[in-house]
Amino acid sequence: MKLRILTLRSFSLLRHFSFLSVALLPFFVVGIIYWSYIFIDPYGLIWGAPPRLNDKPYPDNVRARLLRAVETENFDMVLIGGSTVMSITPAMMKASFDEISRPFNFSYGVPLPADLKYILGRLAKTKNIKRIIVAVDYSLVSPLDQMSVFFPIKNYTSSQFNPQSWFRLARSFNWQNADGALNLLRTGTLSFSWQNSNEWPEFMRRELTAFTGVEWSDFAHGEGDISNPRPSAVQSRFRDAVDRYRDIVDAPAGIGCTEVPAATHVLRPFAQEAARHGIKVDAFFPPYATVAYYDWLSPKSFLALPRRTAIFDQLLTLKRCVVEALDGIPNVAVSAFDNEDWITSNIYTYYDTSHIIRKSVYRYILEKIEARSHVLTVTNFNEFESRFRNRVRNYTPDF
Amino acid sequence: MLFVESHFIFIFLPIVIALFYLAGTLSGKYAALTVICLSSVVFYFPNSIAGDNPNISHLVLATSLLLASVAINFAIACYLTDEGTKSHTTARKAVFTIGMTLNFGALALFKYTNEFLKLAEGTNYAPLIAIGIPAGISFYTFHQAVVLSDCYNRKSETLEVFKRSASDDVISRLKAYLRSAISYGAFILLFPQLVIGPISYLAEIAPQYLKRSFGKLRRIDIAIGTTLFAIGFFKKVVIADYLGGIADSGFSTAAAGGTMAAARAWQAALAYYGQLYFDFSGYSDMAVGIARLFGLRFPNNFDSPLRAVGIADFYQRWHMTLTRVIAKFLFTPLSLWGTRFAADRVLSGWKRKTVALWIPLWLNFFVIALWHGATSTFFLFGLVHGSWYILETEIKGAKLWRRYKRATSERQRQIFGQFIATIGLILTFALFRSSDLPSFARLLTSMIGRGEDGVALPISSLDWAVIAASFAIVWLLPNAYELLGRYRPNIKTFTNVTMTPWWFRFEWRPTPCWGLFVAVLLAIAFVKLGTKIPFLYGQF
Repeated sequence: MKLRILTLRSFSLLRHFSFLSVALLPFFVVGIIYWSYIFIDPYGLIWGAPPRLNDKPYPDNVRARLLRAVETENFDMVLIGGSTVMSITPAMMKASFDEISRPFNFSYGVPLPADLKYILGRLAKTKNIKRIIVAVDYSLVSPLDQMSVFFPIKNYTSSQFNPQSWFRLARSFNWQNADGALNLLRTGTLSFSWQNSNEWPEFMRRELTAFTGVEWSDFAHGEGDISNPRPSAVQSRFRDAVDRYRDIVDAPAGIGCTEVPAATHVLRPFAQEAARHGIKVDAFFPPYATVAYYDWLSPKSFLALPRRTAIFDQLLTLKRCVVEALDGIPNVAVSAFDNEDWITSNIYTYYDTSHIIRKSVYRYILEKIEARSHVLTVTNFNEFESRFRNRVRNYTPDF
Repeated sequence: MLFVESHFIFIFLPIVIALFYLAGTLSGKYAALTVICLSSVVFYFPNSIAGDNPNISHLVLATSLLLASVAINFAIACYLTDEGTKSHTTARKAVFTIGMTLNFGALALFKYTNEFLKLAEGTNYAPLIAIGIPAGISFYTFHQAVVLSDCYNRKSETLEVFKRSASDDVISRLKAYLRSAISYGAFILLFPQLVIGPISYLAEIAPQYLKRSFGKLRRIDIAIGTTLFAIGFFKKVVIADYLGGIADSGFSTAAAGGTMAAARAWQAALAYYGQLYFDFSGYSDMAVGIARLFGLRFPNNFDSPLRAVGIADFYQRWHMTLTRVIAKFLFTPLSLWGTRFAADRVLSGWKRKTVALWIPLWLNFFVIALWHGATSTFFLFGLVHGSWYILETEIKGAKLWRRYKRATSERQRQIFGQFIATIGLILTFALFRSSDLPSFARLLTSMIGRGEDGVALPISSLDWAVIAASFAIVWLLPNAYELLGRYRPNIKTFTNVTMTPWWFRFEWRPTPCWGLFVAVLLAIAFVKLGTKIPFLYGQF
């Protein structure tokens, strides 16, 4: 009864308002937030200055917009790569590298040669950076003119006098950006209300359950342990792939460094420029699960590679070309972890076949990069290749 | 620029509305129409080619194509409506034919050339038209073709738009041309209907321009427009986009060569059926609502089609403005021609029906299918719907049906019809959504429980709840036009029987309580601002 009176009373209050004043209230409230976002311009697209950043991991879809801020924020180490290293946090980096006090992870979805060249070119000239780590993924097998859809190059070529720039700013509104803008206004630092709650990329959280049958919340509390087995359908898909592609898994791709131009046209000029500025460079290959080289040959696989055949040999060629391209440049090292059996043969290291889900593995990789204990050179590459090839060829699923 | 994008809602629309009413109040209706013309070009330009990063030169080309098309059609319409050319039958016919050929030629060139090349040469085809498909080309082609046809037939409402000055004074004559050009341009370019319809007739919209109240702010127009906009916005961003996520995962698994568990396949098919309705009807509601913000009433495009009792009923409720335009300009002339042909040759029985009804119906559905794109799935979709329509027409004309009608109640027939229609439509729209025929076959295989659960995606109970809630809205609640029926929110395209249960037949009024309803819809929809999921029909 009381509830009814309250309801009637609250509705009777509505009599004092007209239809339009009530109906359009959300429009005016959200409109004010929208226009505030436009005026604040939190990413410095047109009239805003590059924002101040904090030392926490930024959301995946935001990081690629922060290049200007990274240049002005006195970071001393930058990690750049794709989805395979998005989960590495500044805290992990800081813990693994002794001389580093302010690292930043600038990884975004599927970096491609054109955007990587642009970013590395700018980072190599950035003051205060002492070390740059580049995660070299399969996407760098792509042609030189390919640009990632996740890197908003046009943000960096905006100007106050170009209507296209205004249009881009007007279109870029979403609640996450609005939250960032309001926090920037309030605290002077670009931050997001949900920035600290999740150290793992959103897409990994979403797909974890699909691939492993484990809920994100259970996984997060277990500090990386997948207590339940994967759904059997995924396991059987992997086993089928191993049976079916055993004979062709390491077939020659018939390509050389000409077909992998990113090594000589992107990484080498960058490393030379960085060396001139006294910046230490580490290129490394995020290790994929051994079963990936079988699974990716299957048409059912979700991987988007320019060439769908001889994938193992294509990636091996990429590795060889990168090692050759960076050979002899001072302060540059190339590391690989593919022959670490405990990482790559265990499918539970990954939530699929390439994205590592255990923090301990990331920490191990970072420590070994710092120690430069897994370095590939022109001299030891053949031995690495031979071991790697044998491991992949003789791989037996243990699940 | 999409209706659901923040810059449309908070920058473009308020500015255009303000300028429109300012111009209308200070300088009259032609100034207000000029605001519509110019703002529509601004609206069209950035989205004139689909895609996130279209080439600027392609945008210029697509916008130029639209403007050139408007100019050429206007010139042809002026010729066809000129009193002086009334007696030049052959010349008028020739000019009309040229106009139609140009319109449909451009549509074929820009929309279908690449598609046919792809069909003929497989995935390695070299695109002949590199700029992509100009947005809205199907819609503005149909709009202009209808105008030319009305001009050729000298329809009185259309002639009014192209009325010449009786004076010999050059300035007066130029002014008359300018007024015609502005009225015609404002109709074709009118941004609420430019990209995804509805397909209205100039004869429906132009008389509204001529009203004395046009260009003058009326509170009731804003109230109705806001309500329709809010309903459409909610349908699109809250319901359709959620259902789209469910549908996409199932259809993309089938497209990638996989199969899935039966429940998941049915979930995907059901979700797509709902998504397409909420997406497209949501767009139409928003378009009708935006038009009403300018004091204009558009024809109705949807009338609870998911409650249809058969395929014929479905097409009287689904994308009604396309159905009526194809019926008017294709089916009716073809059927008349077939009837005459059958009479001349004294054909009877199935031979007469084939010529007078079946072939025109098949062609009708073939064109509807082709309108969506030249792919094998659309062809099969058109073929199935055409055959279904013929079968249903024949069954309803048979003695057996009359006996069945006597033996059953209206309600029983309605439920039975809805059951058959719903199953058939879910399956055929799954075909419509599939990327190719093998993908559709995989989905069907999964639906009958013969697929292996490839990636074992979990089946969420929330997804089922949303699907159930969406279909409850479809089956129980009044549609936007029933809700606002008292205020004649639109022009009736077809008259259909309402199937809303009487206890849910709410009636909207511009009261604070209904204002609260609209505010809640808007507030929930605003949560999804910035998601940028395009309207499904934008691709057609």
